[in-house]
This record gives sequence, structure tokens and C-alpha cells, in this order.
Amino acid sequence: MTRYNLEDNAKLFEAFKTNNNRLIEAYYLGLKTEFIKNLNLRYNCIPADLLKDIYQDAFVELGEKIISGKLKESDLTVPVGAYLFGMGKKIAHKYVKPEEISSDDDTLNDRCVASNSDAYFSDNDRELIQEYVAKVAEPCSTVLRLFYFEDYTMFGIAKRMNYKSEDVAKTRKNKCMTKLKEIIKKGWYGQFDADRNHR
Amino acid sequence: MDNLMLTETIDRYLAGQMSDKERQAFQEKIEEDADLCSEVELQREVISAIRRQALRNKVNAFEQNRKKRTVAKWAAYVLVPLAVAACMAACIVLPQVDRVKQIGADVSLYAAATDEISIAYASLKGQSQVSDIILSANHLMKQQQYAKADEVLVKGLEQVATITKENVQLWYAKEDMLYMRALCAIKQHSVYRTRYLLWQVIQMNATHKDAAEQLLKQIKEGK
Repeated sequence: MTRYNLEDNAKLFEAFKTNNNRLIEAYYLGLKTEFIKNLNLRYNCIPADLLKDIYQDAFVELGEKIISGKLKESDLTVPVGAYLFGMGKKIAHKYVKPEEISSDDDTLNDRCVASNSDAYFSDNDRELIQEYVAKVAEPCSTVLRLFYFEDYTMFGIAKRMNYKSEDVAKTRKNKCMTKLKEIIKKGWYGQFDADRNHR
Repeated sequence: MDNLMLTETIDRYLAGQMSDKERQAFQEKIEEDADLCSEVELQREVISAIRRQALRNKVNAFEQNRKKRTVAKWAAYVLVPLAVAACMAACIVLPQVDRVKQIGADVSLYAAATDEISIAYASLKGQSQVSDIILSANHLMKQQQYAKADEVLVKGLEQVATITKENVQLWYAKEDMLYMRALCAIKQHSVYRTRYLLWQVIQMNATHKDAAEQLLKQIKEGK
């Protein structure tokens, strides 16, 4: 079995950018034990199952940042394990009492983790969007994944989904994204309208 | 601009697929129009969520594969050696079972042994319990009732369990009974019992020692 150097950040970036499953899996499984061990040492109030979920969340978040270009290789000045741990602590803060969060945690966050303070959406909004995306039915779920995650061309999507032409694939992709945005806005604005009507 | 076209335009903008002029123009529109800005940011966040969802499915698959590999590893480290050991044991035992069957099929072996014993004890019939037991077992072996013969011989051996060489008659009777048991075991194709009993006969170093050694050698040659 090939052993990968888990401190090689360049390889990690390459893995996510090229969607190299083998390499991504190696990093995912390779970094897991140390992450959970260290997070457990820091916050031993968090149950084991939740620690695994936090690791998954942190790893997924890291992957998304690399794929979308929000995190560049030059931005990562520490080994990926340390960066991941910083992200994990930030996620873990949701589950611990404020008094258990030590002052040096925030410093570490500033150094290692890109802050979301300038993000357009709040954490709650982002979670809501994530929930809606998780519930997308087929074939939109596949079409959106192929285009936005697997980087398929319209030709590739048409072939994979058995559409007549690239134009059909493009229209389908746009319809799926538009519909999804409308559903999300309805979820928000429905609440907003309800609040407005009560004033 | 209709909604589908807007979605497509935002996609091109976020993916950096616009020309410089087009990009600048669109950027200005975003800065002037709060709704458009909101639409762009929402699409950007939805794309991030799609990627996160796909990654989450991927890592879940990694976990499932890891579990499968753990089970497979356990099977490899525990079950496979067990299976190999069982096969090796079978490889050792099965040829010997065949060999024992071959020996058991040799009618002349039994005829010679049982005739010899029946002659030896015929005159002692009724004189001692052990003699009667041996003759009884002999009779059952001639009738090919090897399991019953073996049962009779086991009871007989219980009676002479503590006998030593000083009691010559019973010592030889004990040896005869063990040897007869070994012949029954061969007929019943029981490898381990055959080998054990023949070994006991050899240890006694008496009448049937050579025959027992010969038989044991024949069984081992079946490997």
C-alpha cells in the first residue's frame, strides 16, 4: 500500500483540485486519528461520535475552500493537520460552554483559520442552505454535483444523463440552480413576510 | 434578464469565464444593485454547499470502505489462517484416512490376526473373564461388528488397566485387546484412534509390536 506524506500540503491541494479519490481518502483517514485525539484532549466534554462528525465537517470545509479557491496553497503556512485542527476547534465551540473556550483558541483561529466575520451569510443561514442542498432530488442532485463539483462539461453531463444535446444539459443545470435558489429564498422570505405581517 | 439567463451569467462571473470588459460591467451592476448582489452571493454559497455535500458523501463512502476493509482484514488475519490450518489438517488427515481404509480393506490382515487370537484363547474359554471378553470380541470382529467389538474390548481393558509385566498372562491379554482395538479402529477408518492404539501396543513391547510398527509405518506412508 502506498504511504503518503500527510504533511505535504501541495499534494493535498492537488488531490482536491483533481478529485483524486485515493489521495483524498488517504488524507482523510490519515489525519483523522490525531485530530480526534487532540480535540478530545482539548474538549473532553464532547462525545466520541460528535468528535468524528466535527472532523468530517472540518475536512469537508477544508476541501470546499481548496476547490473553490478560497484557500490557496500559499495561504497555508502550517501543516494541514494543524490547520484542520484549528477549523475543528472553531466548529467544536458550538458544542462547548463559553467558559471552556480558552483565550488562546481565538488567537490560533486568527493565525490558522480564515475568519468568516466578513461572510455575507451568517452561520445559521449557511446551515439552512446546506440543508436545502442536501434535500435536492434527482436528477438535479446529480446534474449540480457533476457541474459544480466534478467539473463536467455540458457535453459530459449530456452524455452521462442521456440528454439530447449540450444545450439541454445547460438548460437543465440552470433550471436546477434557479429552482434551488427560489426554494431557499422562499424558506427565508416566507419567514420574513410572516414577521412583517405581524407588525 | 430572465432567471435562467441570470443563473448562467452569475455562473460565468463566479467561474471567471467573462472577458475583462464584461466582468467590469457586471461588477458595477452588482455594486449598484443590492438585489443582484444578494443573488450572486446566494448562488456562490449554494455552489459551496453543493461541493460540501458532495465531499460529505465522499467521506461517508471512505468510512464505509474503511469498515469493509476492517472486516476483510479481520477475515484475512483470523479466518484465512484458520482455513489454511484446517486445510493443512485435512491434508494430513485425509490421506491417512484413505490409507487406513486401504489397510482396512486388506481382509487377510484380519483373518490372520483374529485366527491367531481365537486359537490362543480357545482353550481358555470359561477360565477367566478376560479370556471370555477377548473371545467375544474376536467373534464380533469376524462378524464385522467392529463398533460392538470395540465396546467389549474397552470394558475388558478396564479390568486390566493397572496390570504390569509381572502378571505375564494378563499382560499379553492386555496387549491382545489393544491390538484388537487397533484393528477395529482401522476398520472404522479412525486415523487418530488407530495411531494411538498402535502406539500403545508398540510401547508394551510384546507379541504384536512388529505388526503394530508395520501398520503404523503403512499409515504414515499415506502422507
